[in-house]
Amino acid sequence: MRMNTVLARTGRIASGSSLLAVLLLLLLQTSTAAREIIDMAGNKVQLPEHISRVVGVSPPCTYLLYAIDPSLIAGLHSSLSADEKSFMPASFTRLPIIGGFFGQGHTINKEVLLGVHPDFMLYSAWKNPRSAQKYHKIMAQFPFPKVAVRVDSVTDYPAALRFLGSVVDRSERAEKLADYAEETLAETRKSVSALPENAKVRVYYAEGVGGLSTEPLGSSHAELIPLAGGINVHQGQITSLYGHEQISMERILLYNPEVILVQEKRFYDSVFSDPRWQNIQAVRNHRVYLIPRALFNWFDRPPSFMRLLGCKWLLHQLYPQHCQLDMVAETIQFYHLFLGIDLSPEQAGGILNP
Amino acid sequence: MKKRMLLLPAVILICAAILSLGLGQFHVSPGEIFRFFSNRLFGIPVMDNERMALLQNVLIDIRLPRIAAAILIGASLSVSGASYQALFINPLVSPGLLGVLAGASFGAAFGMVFSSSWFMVQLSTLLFGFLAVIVASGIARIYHNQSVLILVLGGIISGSFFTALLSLIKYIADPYNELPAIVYWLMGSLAFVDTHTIKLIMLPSIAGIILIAFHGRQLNAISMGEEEASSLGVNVRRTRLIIIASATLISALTVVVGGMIGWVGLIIPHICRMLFGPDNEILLPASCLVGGIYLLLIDNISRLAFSFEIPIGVITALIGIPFFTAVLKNSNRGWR
Repeated sequence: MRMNTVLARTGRIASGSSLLAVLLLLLLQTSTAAREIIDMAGNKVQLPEHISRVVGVSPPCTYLLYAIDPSLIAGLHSSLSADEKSFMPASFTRLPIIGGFFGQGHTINKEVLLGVHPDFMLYSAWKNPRSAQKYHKIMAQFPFPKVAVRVDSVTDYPAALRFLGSVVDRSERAEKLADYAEETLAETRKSVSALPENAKVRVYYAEGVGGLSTEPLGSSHAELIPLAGGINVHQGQITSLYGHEQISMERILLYNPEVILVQEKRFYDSVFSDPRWQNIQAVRNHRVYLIPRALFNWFDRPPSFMRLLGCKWLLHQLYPQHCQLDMVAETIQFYHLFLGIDLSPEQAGGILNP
Repeated sequence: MKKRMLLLPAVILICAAILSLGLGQFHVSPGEIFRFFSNRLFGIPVMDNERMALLQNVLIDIRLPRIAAAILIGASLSVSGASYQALFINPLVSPGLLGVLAGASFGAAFGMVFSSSWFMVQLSTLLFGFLAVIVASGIARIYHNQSVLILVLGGIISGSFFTALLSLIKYIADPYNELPAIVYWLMGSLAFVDTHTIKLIMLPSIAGIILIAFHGRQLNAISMGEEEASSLGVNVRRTRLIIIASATLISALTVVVGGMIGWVGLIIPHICRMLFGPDNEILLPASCLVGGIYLLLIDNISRLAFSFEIPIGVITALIGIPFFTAVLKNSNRGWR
């Protein structure tokens, strides 16, 4: 049923005047000399002169586009939640749902994609050569130009923003965002290097409704912890790209973290009353923090540029004595710059304490 | 006299439970455990309060509920499996026959996606477990057919239906948080067991187990055929109702506590039949005890083998499947 509505929607979009526009665009594309760029994976790509419709194949790419210009995005991965809709332009929420590659067997609906007919598709280049190869194969089946962008880590964002800005001809805006990203990363590094070594906080990242899945040190899912000067208590090997490693309650007792970062509200609500957690230092000292997730998650799942703000937030939570930040003002500034949303201090407070 | 044979598994179960209390990734020495309990039971002051609180945490809040859950789930699944095998006169039947596990799994996933309270998730698990069985028997009733076969077919239909619904829920679940939660839940794990849940399900579970375990004589008669049982004075319809209702309750409760844990209800009754013979009066209580021992053992492996937890349902399946293949050979001789 869902398929039908999606198809119907695309049908509507593709029909009528926009069909003409698409045809015209196709004609232009073949007749005028296209420009050639080199993407972040080092591949040469032919692109049309003027770019107006782009499809990201996974959430990190789409969010990157969103930061630069939401009007470029031509399709969504899944239907938006009511929370997301309330912050987004109405035209954006009506876009067709194309799907995307975000693990667990989710794919792109090729017919909807053909109907959308993007100028190019944006995908993430992987450091891991096996994943990169696999991705390359998948991408080869789509008859549109493909541009790779590298956003493996939050430190990749300045370069990624500048690259994408130049590709879609929004360099000026991209430059502003990239400057903010660079500044944030530099300030964070400075603050962290000024911390006395013995003041470093031991952090447990609690995922899942029971709070018993986590990510090991070195996992990109938890990269903000070391970046913000914390020590991830779970030092195990990275067993899978997907993460969500299950660990036992007793292991957490052994780790005895000073701070717990929580993804799930349900777990956050129960942790202070669940007797099993009461002897953990973080719970005793009330240093359990629920990660903000508006507009997109600040920490991970999905990874996005919101991590830049998440980085500041985490620094502030881990080291309130050393790195005092006015998080309400920071949130307002970030939303204004990256999302074009002007928050009131109350709204910002609500986002910080979900 | 034969009942004395049950003494051995009972003793082993108690020893295994006590031993499991001393096992875990958080190191606590046996001496300390002994001192802890002598303090708790007789009030002898033996250590400082902080260590005492920590031990209370490890032993009473973390390990004890998990041990209790393992035993209860093992016993519930095994006794349901054993009673179904007699009731449906088929040794290859498992507690999920009438769709209860599929229904309960769907209920859990449904709750995880549409509710934010854990209690509602548990309630929906239980309700949909029952609903699946009601659907199965409803299908049997439509055809005005009293035979067990149509009931089994109803179970297959109902189970497949809820499995399909489960896939639908998985498809619409948020892939970042909800979907992994559902997937891990369906693999089965006792990592999330807490005292509160155990207290909640303990009484109904034990009541259901006992109720089934005391129907050995009637089940002996039914496993010879319905007409024979009726002529022996057994009310077949009533017995069937009691067994199915109790087995549905305790099987759905296992999903409430630990998610999908498969194969236990199939292989434990077989092991018990080899050890104790086919008499249901012995077989049913024996299945409870051996099932408890088995799942306790498996859970110890699941929490101790690696620094991460292997979902218990994965281990029971990995052990159960080769075992099942082996017993298939004996399935048509001497199981009664």
